[in-house]
Amino acid sequence: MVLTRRAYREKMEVSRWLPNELLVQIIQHFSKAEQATLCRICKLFRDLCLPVLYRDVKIKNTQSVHSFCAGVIENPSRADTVRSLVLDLPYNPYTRIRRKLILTSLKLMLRLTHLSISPCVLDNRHGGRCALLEECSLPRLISCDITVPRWGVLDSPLQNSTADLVAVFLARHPTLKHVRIQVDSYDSGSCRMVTSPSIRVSLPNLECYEGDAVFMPAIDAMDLKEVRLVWPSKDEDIEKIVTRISPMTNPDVSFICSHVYWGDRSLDQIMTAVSTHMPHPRTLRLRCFGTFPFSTLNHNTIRRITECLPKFTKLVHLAIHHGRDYYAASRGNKDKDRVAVKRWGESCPTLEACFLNYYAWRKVGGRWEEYSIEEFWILAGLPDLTAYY
Amino acid sequence: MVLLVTSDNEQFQTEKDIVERSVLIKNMLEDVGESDQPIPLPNVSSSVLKKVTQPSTGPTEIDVRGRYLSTASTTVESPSRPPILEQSQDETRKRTTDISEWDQKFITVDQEMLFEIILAANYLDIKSLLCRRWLQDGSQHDQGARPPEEIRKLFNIVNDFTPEEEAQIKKENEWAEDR
Repeated sequence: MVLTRRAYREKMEVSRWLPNELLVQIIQHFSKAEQATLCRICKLFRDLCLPVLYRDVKIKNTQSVHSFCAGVIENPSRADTVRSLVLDLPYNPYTRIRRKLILTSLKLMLRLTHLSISPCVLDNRHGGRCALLEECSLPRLISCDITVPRWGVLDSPLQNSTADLVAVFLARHPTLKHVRIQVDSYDSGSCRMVTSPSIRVSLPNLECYEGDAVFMPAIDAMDLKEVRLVWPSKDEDIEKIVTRISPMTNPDVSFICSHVYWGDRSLDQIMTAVSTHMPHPRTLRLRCFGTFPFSTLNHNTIRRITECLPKFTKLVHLAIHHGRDYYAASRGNKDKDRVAVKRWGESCPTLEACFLNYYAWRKVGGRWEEYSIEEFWILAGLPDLTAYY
Repeated sequence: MVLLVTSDNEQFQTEKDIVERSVLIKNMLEDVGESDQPIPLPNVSSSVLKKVTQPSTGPTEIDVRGRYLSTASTTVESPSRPPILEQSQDETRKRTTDISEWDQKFITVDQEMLFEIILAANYLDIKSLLCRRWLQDGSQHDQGARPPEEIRKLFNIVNDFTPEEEAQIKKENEWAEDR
């Protein structure tokens, strides 16, 4: 501690007496606004803060996006430090988004590994091209999250073209490991991201796909470890799509399979298709999105699940939630759920833990005991309990 | 209990749970196994170790992966909150939702001690002590850092920007003010 005593005697100039790497560690804990302030203290702090400030960028308003992009274009060296860019802009009919500015700055970010764009950035309703999807090429992109504006999907003339543009964008990025494609719509069950039949997207590194299930057949992957599929409310292709996905997974590798669906009929179809054509997931999650908040599974559906479960070869965690509000005061019929879980455990010997509606159980010495939902979620490798997928 | 020996040869019997907040000590204990032998900490003085090993009464992280934090714990970032400089009673009162009583005691240290804690936290590898609030002001700038001129004054940092350069860097990074 001799060093700090000397520093104290010599009036404690922090930047001289704390090593740079330690200052950087401390800076990393600050918010973006605080990091921006620290950049203005002195040149040393600016040099230490700027790479941290620009590494992970998340912007939520249009004016800030324009300011950020203009700054990057003016100082291209800043673009090199950006690794993650999240443009989470709300829809505002009175604000004009300068999409060319965004595209120009994105083209400079050659080391970007994560890109997330909200629908406003892709909006081409007024006849403009969706240049970002058409032209952007990011050689190191590992993860992308694209929310497509619903008008691009619902308007029938654009239906294929928007999905195709997304597909072509993905095809330019074979480095991708994690892809999330969704439609910006509260009632996304009615939207379908269908690509033209000739479109094929080769993503040899893809490990996780999240989003619209009907978009998935356009992708060619080799070693999927996780799929989180949102099924449209009216679709007869569940079996066809599951059959298409199955060869992209490796039965010897732990696989997580999540489904969001819109009613008991879809649940029947999903259980039948997955148990028949892709029976090797370690974790299976089924979430109904078209029911009343506190509704529970009906007797026939429970029976149907029981019939399908023996076909699963490696199923360890099963999560089924029918109600929407996990923290509701009214939490369904626990005893009835326990009976269902017990029956499922008998049907599927590999099953070790189960979440149903509002409670989690695990098998201990042959008996099903209630346990922590949070622990279940972690062990099952699932995302946040309240996450859409 | 674990026996720690500081640079000024003072010995401390400390609970294992507490000392294991230090990755360095945790690794040492794992390597050595169960032992009565004291662990020497040649880079940490007794006064600093007392601060560093004070048990926190504050909330702890629920989940190491940052998931499932309930609404009540959304402000929790680490088992113990980091030090900031001494605050007046009024200033402190304004932050009571954010800083526990233990944290308030912990952070009322002079600059020399603050620097020693930061260096010790780095040596002992205690991430939670290497956190952010050491430059924060709890009064007018509740959600942000002190203004640059205050930080410069506090730590005797010379402003080597020209006014134009400073204005330029402020303008370039305005996007970061977006919350």
